[in-house]
Amino acid sequence: MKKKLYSVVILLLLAAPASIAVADDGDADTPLHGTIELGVRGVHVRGDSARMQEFVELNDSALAGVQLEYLKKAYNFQFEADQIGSDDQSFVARGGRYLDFKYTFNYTEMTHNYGFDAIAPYEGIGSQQITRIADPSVDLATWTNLSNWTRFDYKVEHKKYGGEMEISMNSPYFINIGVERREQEGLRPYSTDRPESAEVPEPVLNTTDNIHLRAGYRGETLISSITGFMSSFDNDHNYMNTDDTPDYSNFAALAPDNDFYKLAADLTLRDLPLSSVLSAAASYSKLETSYTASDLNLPATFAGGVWNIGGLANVNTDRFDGEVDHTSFSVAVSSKPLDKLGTKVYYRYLERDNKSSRVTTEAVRDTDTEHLSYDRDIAGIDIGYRLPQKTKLSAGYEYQKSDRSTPDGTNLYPTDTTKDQTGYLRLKNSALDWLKAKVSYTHTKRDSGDIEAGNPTFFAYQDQSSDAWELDFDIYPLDNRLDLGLIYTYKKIDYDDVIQSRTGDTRQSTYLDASYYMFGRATFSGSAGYETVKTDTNGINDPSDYTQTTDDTFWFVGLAANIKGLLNYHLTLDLSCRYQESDGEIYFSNDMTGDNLQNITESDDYIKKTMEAKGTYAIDNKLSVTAGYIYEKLEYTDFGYNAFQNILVSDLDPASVEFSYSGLYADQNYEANIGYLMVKYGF
Amino acid sequence: MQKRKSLGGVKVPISCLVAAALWCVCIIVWPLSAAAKNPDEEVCFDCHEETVTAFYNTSFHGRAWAATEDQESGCESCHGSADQHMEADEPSKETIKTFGSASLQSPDEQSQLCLTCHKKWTKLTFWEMGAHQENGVTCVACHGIHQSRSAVLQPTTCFTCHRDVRSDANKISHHPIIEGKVDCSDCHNPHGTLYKSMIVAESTNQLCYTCHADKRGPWIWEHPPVEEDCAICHTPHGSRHETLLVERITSLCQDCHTRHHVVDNKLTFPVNDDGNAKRDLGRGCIECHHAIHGSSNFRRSLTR
Repeated sequence: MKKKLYSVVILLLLAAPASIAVADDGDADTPLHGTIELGVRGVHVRGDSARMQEFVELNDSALAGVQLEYLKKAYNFQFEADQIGSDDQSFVARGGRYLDFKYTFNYTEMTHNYGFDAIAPYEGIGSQQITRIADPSVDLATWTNLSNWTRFDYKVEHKKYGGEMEISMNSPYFINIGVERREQEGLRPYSTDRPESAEVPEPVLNTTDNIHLRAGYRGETLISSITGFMSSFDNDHNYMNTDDTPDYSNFAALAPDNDFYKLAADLTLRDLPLSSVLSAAASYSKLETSYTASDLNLPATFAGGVWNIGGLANVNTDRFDGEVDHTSFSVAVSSKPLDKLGTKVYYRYLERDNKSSRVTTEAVRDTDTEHLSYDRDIAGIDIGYRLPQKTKLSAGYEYQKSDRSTPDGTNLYPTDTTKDQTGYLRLKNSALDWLKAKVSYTHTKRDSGDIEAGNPTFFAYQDQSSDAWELDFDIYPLDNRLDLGLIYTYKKIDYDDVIQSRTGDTRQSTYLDASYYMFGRATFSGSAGYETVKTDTNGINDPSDYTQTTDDTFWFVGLAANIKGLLNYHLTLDLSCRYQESDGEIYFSNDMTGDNLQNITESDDYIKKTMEAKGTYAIDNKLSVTAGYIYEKLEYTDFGYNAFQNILVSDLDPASVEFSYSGLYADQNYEANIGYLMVKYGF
Repeated sequence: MQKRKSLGGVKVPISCLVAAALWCVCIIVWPLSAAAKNPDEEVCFDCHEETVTAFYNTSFHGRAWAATEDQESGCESCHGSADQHMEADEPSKETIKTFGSASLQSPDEQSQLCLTCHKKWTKLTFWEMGAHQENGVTCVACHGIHQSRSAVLQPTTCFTCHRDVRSDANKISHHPIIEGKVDCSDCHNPHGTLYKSMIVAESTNQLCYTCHADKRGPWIWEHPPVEEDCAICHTPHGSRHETLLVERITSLCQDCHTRHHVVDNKLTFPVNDDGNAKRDLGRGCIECHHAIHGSSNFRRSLTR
């Protein structure tokens, strides 16, 4: 009821400008148009309804939506309200007067449903202090009795609201200001390793406030602006304890508050020699956080610089001052030195400078914080030349250099510097009325320099070369009645010098589309796609230790029909169905194919079938009724959830609990039937 | 740690106050308006009465031109002089400027006509630097010039060409794009930016942190690939793997953490009743190692 009330208040607030305008106008021909939709929806679900409604609310409910559009001379106003009163309702009001000002206000809700009816052997779920229902080392029977576990839903409710306005008053100068708040509240899956390893719900309650101010000049040849942006993230739950007696051993630090500031400027100069356009942008941003151990409610055992934490001693500080600065600069020049020749030269620079304080401990292993800084230089050129017969040849080259560093020069990677070189060729032709064709080839080479022996992992930073092909055809064989589309892509990456980690990656995809337009009365369309991903991974200490091959396949096919003008031009039918299937396999070889690394023949496998039928009957030109039906079925299987059990016992001690799972994602299968009836009134 | 500001004991975000102020401004400046031009003054009216009338009455272009009192504006602003078209025995598209894939004008010529007025539009600041301009995507490929509503229908319009994205967005794990909660234009400026994939931020991470502010840090303990590029582990539009991961999580983690996780423990991974290795159970590695985006804990351990 509270939500409904809020919804009505928001509706009235945002729609008020339209009503005022109408009243002010007093004109019978006031150009206010809109629609009001009311209806009901019935939902029947067998299985995991959270997966089915991951981002939308699909319950038995009333439906309501409003659209308004007001145009009065140069003034325009639009208002849209969708799913009014539900957990995924949204309201948007936008408008303005041509050349003078424009504005947008919005309010949006969304629920992210991860999983319903999860269970955990804890009490106090939703708070920062959760406690075990029993100590399994003392009372294993109580702890392992699932009926004693707490039941809850993994979901996070999102709200986003704010407004933006731009004023120029028919002058080349403009100012734009916007504010926005984002809120999140709910439970997300987390994990803890003490007292027992367990999947536990993380309490989520945070807000992010954003504000920006932009001022600038927009002229015929010069556009330039300066923008200031501030964003403040405020987390009400910065930590969580997982036992009655808070200690470092059962403590989890959650996301810290942070403040982000950015100053940016941009510029575009047109009508330069050689029909050139110069664009540039620069920005400097600072991300900050600051907190002490006491802010995290850590027990005050820090004394004299000695702090025994998890076996590690002598922590140098109980305070962390985090600061990460980013500096960026980009410039590009686009030219047309010849009528048929177009060029673009560009350079981009990005620097990340991590100035955060370091937490250091003396211990059995390297425990200095490893704060990453880097800078990237990217330079490139694109050239396009129009050949005869509506043919365009494009070519380009890009060079990227990344330099990485840590505070004391600790080498976290096989190399500090990577250099990428990319070149491409593309040929397009549209000489024939019924065919547009494009073929392109891209080659990338990454040079990681001399790889440090003994640390030859991290495939993303290793030497590599990739080749990618793309074929793209649009075919119109029946003069505006039949459209066909075909896209094929092939990409192969070789990680040349990798002996541990990924050594190869090959991806192919094919997409087919067809649409047939029948005398303006019906459209029949179909689409299909087939994607494969194969990766190879080698070895541990020696290439002969094992190899891993992943083989993922995904394909879909969909059909749709839109038929208008039935029943004496009163009835419109929309029919669609879609089938998609995902199949993944992972194979191991050599030493590791024993009892522990067994082949995985079900890796995120699923089949999803969707069918929708909708009929809209127009009673007159203002009133229409829509009835619809949606059927959806998901069958999901995965190695990780086969023979799922909430409790794993220790191999070494069968009487000891090794791990507890909540059941999240364990059974994602569902079958849903949804029916709805809507009445729409337009004016 | 900084906490939420309060006003008189009541938590009121500054953003709400500013939004309220903006709303008031809109109400106050509403009544201002300008004069209009009639559709029947158009030379095209006699033959294209229905189109011209609808254009003037409902389209944004029509309303805007009507308000400028600029008698030079109208159909011929875009379609060029109608003289040759009207003098021809049988008026055809060859004697007038048209738009779309069947147009006799090049994509660049079509777009330049729109830029005559719109090049001062802020979102078009970097039009000449964008991939759409470079690939001959015209304005009318996405925008209905004669239609009443100005907003492009997302993501449907974008999916017309970006079929790989359409495929991803329909996979089991996806950003709420098809649900209408994330628009393509939230992350990309289709009118051009100076950055790769026309994203609206200086880097992938800066873009992701717009919504995922809890992942910003700064962290006491960092996970280097996270700071380097979110796209090393995640794919932005959709994936057949949970949480938009580029591959199965255990394979993904092990692409880098080969030695630590397998050599040291290869014989000690317990199995469940089905014989499956525990490292693959449930959500995989993150069932124990949660703080993979970074940790604000002073203590360093497996879970951080």
